[in-house]
Amino acid sequence: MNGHSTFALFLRTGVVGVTVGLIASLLTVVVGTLIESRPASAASGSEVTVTAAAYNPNDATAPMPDLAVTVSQTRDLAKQGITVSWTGGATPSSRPSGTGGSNFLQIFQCWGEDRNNPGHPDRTTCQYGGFAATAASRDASVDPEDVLPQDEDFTVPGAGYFNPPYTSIPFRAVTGKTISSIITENGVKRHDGTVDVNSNEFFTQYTTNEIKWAGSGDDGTGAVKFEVQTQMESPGLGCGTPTIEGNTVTGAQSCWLVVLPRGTADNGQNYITKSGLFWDSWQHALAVKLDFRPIGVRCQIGAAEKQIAGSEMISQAISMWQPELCLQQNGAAFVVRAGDESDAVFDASTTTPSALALTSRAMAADASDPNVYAPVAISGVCLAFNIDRRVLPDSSVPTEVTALNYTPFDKMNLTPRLVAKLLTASYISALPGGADLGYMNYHGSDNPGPNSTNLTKDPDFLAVNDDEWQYMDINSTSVADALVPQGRSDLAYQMWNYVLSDPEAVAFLNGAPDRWGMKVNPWYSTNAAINPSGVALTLPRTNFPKADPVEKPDATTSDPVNGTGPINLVAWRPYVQDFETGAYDTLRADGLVLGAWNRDSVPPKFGKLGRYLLGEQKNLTVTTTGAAAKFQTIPVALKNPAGNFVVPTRESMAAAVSAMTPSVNSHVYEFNFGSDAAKAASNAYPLTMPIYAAMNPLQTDAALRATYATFIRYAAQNGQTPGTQLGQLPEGYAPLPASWVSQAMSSASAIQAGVKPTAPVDLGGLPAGNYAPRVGGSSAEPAPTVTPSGAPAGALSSSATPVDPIVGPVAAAVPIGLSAGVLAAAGVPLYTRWRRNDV
Amino acid sequence: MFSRPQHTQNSLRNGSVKKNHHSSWNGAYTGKESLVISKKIVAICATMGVAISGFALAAPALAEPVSNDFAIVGSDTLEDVVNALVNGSRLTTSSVRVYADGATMGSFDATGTPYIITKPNGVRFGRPNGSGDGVTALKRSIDGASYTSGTTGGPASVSISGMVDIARSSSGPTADANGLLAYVPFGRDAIAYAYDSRTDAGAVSAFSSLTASQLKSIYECTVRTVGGITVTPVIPQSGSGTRKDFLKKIGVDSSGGGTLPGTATCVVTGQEHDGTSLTGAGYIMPMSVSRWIAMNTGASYDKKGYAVLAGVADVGQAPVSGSGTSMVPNQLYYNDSTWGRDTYLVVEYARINSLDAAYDSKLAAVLNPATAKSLTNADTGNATGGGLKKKFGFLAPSSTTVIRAVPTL
Repeated sequence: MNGHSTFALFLRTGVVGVTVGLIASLLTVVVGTLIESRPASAASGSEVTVTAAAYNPNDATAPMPDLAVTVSQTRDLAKQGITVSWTGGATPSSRPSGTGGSNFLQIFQCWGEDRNNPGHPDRTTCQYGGFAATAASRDASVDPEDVLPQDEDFTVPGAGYFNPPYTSIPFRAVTGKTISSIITENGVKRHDGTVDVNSNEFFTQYTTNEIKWAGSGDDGTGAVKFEVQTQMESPGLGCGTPTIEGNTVTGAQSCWLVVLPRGTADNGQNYITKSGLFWDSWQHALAVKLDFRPIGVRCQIGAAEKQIAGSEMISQAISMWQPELCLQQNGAAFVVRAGDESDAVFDASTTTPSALALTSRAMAADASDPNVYAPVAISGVCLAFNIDRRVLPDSSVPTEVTALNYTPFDKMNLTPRLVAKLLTASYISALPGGADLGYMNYHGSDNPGPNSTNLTKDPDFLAVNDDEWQYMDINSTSVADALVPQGRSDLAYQMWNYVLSDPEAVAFLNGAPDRWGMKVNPWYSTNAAINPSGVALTLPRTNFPKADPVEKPDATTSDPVNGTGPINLVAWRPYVQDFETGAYDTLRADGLVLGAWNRDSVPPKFGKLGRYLLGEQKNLTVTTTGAAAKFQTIPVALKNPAGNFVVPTRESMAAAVSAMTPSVNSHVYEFNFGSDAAKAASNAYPLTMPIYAAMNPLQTDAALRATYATFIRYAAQNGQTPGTQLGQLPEGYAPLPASWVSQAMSSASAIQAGVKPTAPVDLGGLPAGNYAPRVGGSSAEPAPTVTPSGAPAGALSSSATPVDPIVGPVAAAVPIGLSAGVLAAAGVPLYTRWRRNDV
Repeated sequence: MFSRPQHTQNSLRNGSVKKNHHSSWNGAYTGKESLVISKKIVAICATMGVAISGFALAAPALAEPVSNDFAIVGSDTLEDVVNALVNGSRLTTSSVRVYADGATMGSFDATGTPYIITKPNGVRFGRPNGSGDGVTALKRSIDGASYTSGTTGGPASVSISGMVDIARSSSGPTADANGLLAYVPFGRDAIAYAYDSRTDAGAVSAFSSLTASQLKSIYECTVRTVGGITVTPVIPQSGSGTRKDFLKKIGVDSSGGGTLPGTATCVVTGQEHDGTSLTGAGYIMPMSVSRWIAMNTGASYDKKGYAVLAGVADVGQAPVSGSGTSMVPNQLYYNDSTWGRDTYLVVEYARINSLDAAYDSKLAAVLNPATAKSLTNADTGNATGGGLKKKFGFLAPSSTTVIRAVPTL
């Protein structure tokens, strides 16, 4: 275990570095060496079903004897989403309200096996209780007669009515540390009030992945997405921690997924109010073993580390490729610094050694662009959702619609104009509650004006979606816009381009009402005559602005009793850190909705609403197709230039690639919404985007160029095999066509040789028949002949250059840093989804 | 019982509680009540307060009496029943009065004048209005930080160290084993809703059978008519336990902005359990069933106005049975895990923990349910606290286990 704990220390240190980096620059850093290996797989091949009858054969008091739980993936797990579905749940399920609810499941992760009950997890090793909610905490005061013998070791005896017995299940972390609120002195157990077993250094309500309530439908079935955590998210569980013998990684620590059925009353109680870890409930637990990929051991510790900067879209693929990448000749651990692509390309365009840039757009036209471009992946940007049905309580609603109440939607269509509405805070609920919204023609709920309160109420939306949406009554700020990341990116640029591809959307942004009278929020109008700032919003642009300066005024002085603090648009609808975080929050059903005003806090502040319960989820986010797949959020079908609604899949992204045409730079292709090819591509997903590695081949560090060439060759060849194994191409990506692979290989050769090719690349028209993803091949392939242009780079002059390029996106730090200051001043509750080390 | 003039006047007219109110001089009441209670009594009261507590030498210049011992504030739902226990009542035909080791206590209503003074030589501070506000006052009483009540017009930022001992709470806490406060189960209540009886006859059946889901849409202002009549939802003031409970039970997110969901501007704020908040056809409001029963049996002042009680249709049970003075709770409605609710008296845990240096045996005694004449008793005999509570529509709590909560004040 020594090697183990040393390793853990290394990993944690790495995370600290990342967190500090985030705070310093507010840029997102994806560290390929430290993050998980592999995203979700719909066809994982490791689906497992466990039944109450088989797992607990002698359980005469099981609350749900017919329960059968299916876990969608149980092997090769990483930080990702999986689906837990079940049949045989007891009904009716009632929601938590005072009590913990009734007839529901609790789902959580544990790491250790019960020595006395092999094949079952040990309850002291479960990440449970983070919410410290009724029926979902690790401890409780109990009536003396209700303490079962199995719980006595964990119970402090009572002393009179006001000192009832106290049962507390400790948390034994994989690190060896135990969090226990019961201490024994001279053989006498005592409650240690200084220890909180529910919120501690290993988990809190903000980090735990437990699901405290999952109810069943009337037929006893249900399904929920579960966030699997590795040692990175939960060091106390340590799932996926590599097991090391000598210098060799032999495997990774497995964990348990526990599904705990809760009936209608705890031992001696009238309702479900006590901890599920108390024996009375725990004895009925079902569990499935979860096997993880080893995390963190992609490369030898201390191996060369090289930076890649730019497109966040590559993150999930890099995570998969990394272990293979460092085994290549000239291989290295590649650290992706996700941020603005144009900054990255600019940095890479000089002859000074820099990080390899990843971009979806060329820096300039052929003649004036010093970079060579190598396509390394095809992915996309998307909107993804997680919305449960909430049927309007009205007798006119058809019964087949009512029967699906509280179940999740699996389909949503959006047009460019609807995307425009979401990105421009044009729905009423996207604006701070209580603010004067007269400029939106909103004068209270009885005189709301023509703009809908949220997406699901918009007749424009209902016109292009399934009929059942019109019977919904879903009200929340989290469906009035989409979570968007802060910072600049090509992804944002392409999304705005998509919006502008539609004349209706352009007219809407220009201030014209849609057919139902809804108008754009004037602060986002591209028409300077309408925009109260007097300046038109410039589109397309590389970010998602919060352009409306609306503020609900501070009322704490004028109304000390009921008044709340000020709310501006960023406080009301905060940014997420990056595209991936949006998908992650959506998986967790966290809409980032502002909570109630807490007058008693010092200083007074708004709380946070927290995660929605299953059945009440309503989340919508902008994210990447890779992140949407990884976190099992459902991508929106977007209307493409051919007029069809298409979701991102390998096939629809491949269809889009086939319709791509050269941009201003003939080496860089794009999906041009206005092109004939795009209009003819009926199955194309419109926001498919290529990712190019780009750099000036005349950069002066030959060794660095060789390393980047290795990366490109691997990515364009072996990395393009779709699959769920390490080194393969995960979901959310489409493989490169053969001609693109050729371009990548010759660009890699140019970069390695330090020469700038002269001939423009001609990929041909990329007819569908030409689309043949390349499989296999060696990345050590000899470089094809390249026609040099100009003088060769100073391949041997590396003594005059630093070994590693200067770290830090300086160009980007200025504008982003400025907005960070604005955020901090506005008191935005910014928190990272990463574990904090100071809890 | 003390605070509202009309309350006192009505009670004085009401023979069944006359005794109750005659004994009220040793509790607290407002300045307006001095209109009906002689200044002489006030003076006696003040003297008594000083004598029994044995503190100050000079008689305070107060316009109203103070508690001789523990001071109780908070929930509107619990105010009448706790007042009756503290001030004594013969509603059960036997006399029931809870003393703090012989001394009388003071229980202060949630509404009335904007401020109260609870103890001899005490400071004047804003009247705590509702469960949340009462618990806040208790916290400030413990930690000495300044307190501003939820009553408009009350003095702001007053230090109230030691001025509050017990808070009435109609909603339960988030348990925390290290909590500094103890929620002692008081009795079981239930939440239903009331609608205005002037609602058109054709719409009554719709108004009297609303489901939780319908109530959610009504309070989110997306359903604006019921049975063809425009519906106007009324919600208790912020700080009310009933407000918090009700919104949670129907599933309305209480998001920022001080309003209900930012766009729910159709919702009107009105004092909880006050039927006069229903001002016309189509008005509805949440209603504590216990308060409704007490208003019908005459145990409480009748604030029914035009209100008619209805149970939430999901439960499938009527909240009460009988009518008028013989109205009693329906145990089946109260048993519902969603719509029934336990109510609590909240105190500083250290003061009732016999292992703590701050232990106050007198406070523990008034909260010990095993004692027949305690605040938390849940027996059924006529001479017990529990018997008296039943007259106010409270049944025994579903659990008697003390819940610790609030780890940091």
